Amino acid sequence: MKLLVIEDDPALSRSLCDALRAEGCAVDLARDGEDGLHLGSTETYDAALVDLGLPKVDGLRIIAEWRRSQRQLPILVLTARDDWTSKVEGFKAGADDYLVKPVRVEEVIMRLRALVRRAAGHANPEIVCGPLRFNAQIATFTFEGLPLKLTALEWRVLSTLILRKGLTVQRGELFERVYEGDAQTDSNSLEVIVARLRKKIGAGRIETARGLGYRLVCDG
Amino acid sequence: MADRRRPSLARRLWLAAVIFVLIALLIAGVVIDRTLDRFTALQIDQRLDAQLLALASALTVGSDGAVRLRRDLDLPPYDRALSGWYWQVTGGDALLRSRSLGDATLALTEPVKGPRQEPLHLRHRTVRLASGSEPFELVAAAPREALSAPIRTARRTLAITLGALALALMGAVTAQVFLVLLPLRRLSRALADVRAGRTRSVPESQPAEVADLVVELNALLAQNADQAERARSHIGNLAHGLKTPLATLAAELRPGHDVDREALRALVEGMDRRIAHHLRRARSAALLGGRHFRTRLAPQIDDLVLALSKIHVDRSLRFSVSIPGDIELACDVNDVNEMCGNLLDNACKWAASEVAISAERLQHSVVISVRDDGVGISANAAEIALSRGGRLDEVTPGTGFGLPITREIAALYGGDVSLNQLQPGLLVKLTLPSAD
Repeated sequence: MKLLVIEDDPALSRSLCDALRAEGCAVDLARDGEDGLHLGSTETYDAALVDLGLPKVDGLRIIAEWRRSQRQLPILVLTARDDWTSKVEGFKAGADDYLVKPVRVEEVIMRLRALVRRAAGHANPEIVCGPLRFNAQIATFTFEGLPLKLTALEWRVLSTLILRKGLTVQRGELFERVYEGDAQTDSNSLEVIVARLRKKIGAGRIETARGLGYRLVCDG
Repeated sequence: MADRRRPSLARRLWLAAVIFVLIALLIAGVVIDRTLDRFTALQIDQRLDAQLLALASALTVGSDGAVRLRRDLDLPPYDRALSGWYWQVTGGDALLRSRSLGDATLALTEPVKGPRQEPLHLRHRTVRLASGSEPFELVAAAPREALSAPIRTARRTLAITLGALALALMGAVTAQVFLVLLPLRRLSRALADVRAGRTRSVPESQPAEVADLVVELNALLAQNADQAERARSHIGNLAHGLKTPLATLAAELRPGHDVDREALRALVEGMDRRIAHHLRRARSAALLGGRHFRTRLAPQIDDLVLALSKIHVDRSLRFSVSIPGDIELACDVNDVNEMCGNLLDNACKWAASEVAISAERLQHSVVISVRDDGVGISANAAEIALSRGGRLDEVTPGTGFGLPITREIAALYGGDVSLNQLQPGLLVKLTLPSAD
């Protein structure tokens, strides 16, 4: 799961990013509206966390701009404006959820997970793929009834695949959803992670679609 | 202090009046002068014409064929040499003239001048003694000085009179401007007294023209005082409400004491809710005060339902909205959003599957009903939920019901909130003033 955080307050953005990374997410941070608008328009994210009062470009304008250019990523608004008129404005601009500061970081994480799950078309928090189960609310996997231990990168790859179970996820897209914008990686690293995952959940579970990408197989 | 660059009301009034007075006096002066001029000329002309008439009637041809006058017409001033008053009769070989002319002859070419080269004013007449006979040219002349001297004197008098009149009128205008602006000056002194705290309002015994202004001013002063009082009481409540959790925080943080992080967090959240509650109420209270609002209800509810269906997306709630499109509330749009948003959000939290919103117009009010099909609350709990708004210092906002703040905002508009237990569910009725 890769997230875009647009927040200008240094202390809050640091603690948000730290907490989100501790939960296994890849996070890109934008400190002003202009950067945020640009990142969200050009990179692939599972969800965006947008503050409304931002320098350079206002949060509402960013959201409206993305929606106008058909960017469908789920958006969670995080703001100090707690009145219903502001909330309505946020939702009308195209936000999917709204949180008022001060917030508990756990609440932010929970809402983001729910947004990502719903955006992938899953109404139920538990996503089942054969013996593999993913609880999207607490973001943990079980395999054959036992907790599955995963590294952050493995978790990102597997959660991306299970949210799109049965579908082929292109290599480029998977790469973008797993690594942060400024990460130093070589193109083989994804294969290494997939190989490690295959050892944990069985080689046949992750199919390679040649030249295209990977697919999580649920039957059998 | 008054800004010197701003146009002064007194100066403007005074300038306008003075300009009008001067123009009127100027026109009057010109008209009187012309009339005098004509009147003097008419007098002289009549005198000369009378002389011409006398000449014509006295003119005769003697038995010797010489033309002469039947009687002496050289009455004063025609008898005094070079008096400026002359007459002369010419025709054929004849030449008769006044004694005043002596041996001189009047040359009848313009400008006509007398023997002393003095400018003359002429009247003349042609006379025939018998039909078909030779015509005689009769001329009577007066010195131009006889016309201009009286006019000069009259003009001097006229100028002095009009000047005095102008001065008197300007004096009157000055006095008038001063008198008219006197109540404004008194009003400004009275306001200064209010500001200095010497009085609480401006005296209402004022001239009719400023009486309305004074009534409005006093209403504004009363409203300000009221708002300041409300703000003071709110600050007091807020301070009171924050000090208890702060004291607990301080106690929790004392050295050598194990910090209960969850308890601290709960305290911080409680303080945040309290601050949010008071800020919201202060925002609404600041807006109010004799102002008139008009907010159409239906679009606001539609927007709120859109927001709430996203907020509670996992609940898959059904919203049924029945609001006549022409219902308008006499409330600020943000307050309408705040009150309805809280009630709808509550209903969504408690509903099993459906939230119904409807509105109905009574005589001067609108009743908005929000119904959910959840567990509802007991009559006892309803009483508690409502009574919390009753006294501000006991308000505990954010307890799951957005009722206290909704009720307080509604009360600012003279409205109310009531709860009714349904089987199953809860019906909340919000009464607000209608804008019609």
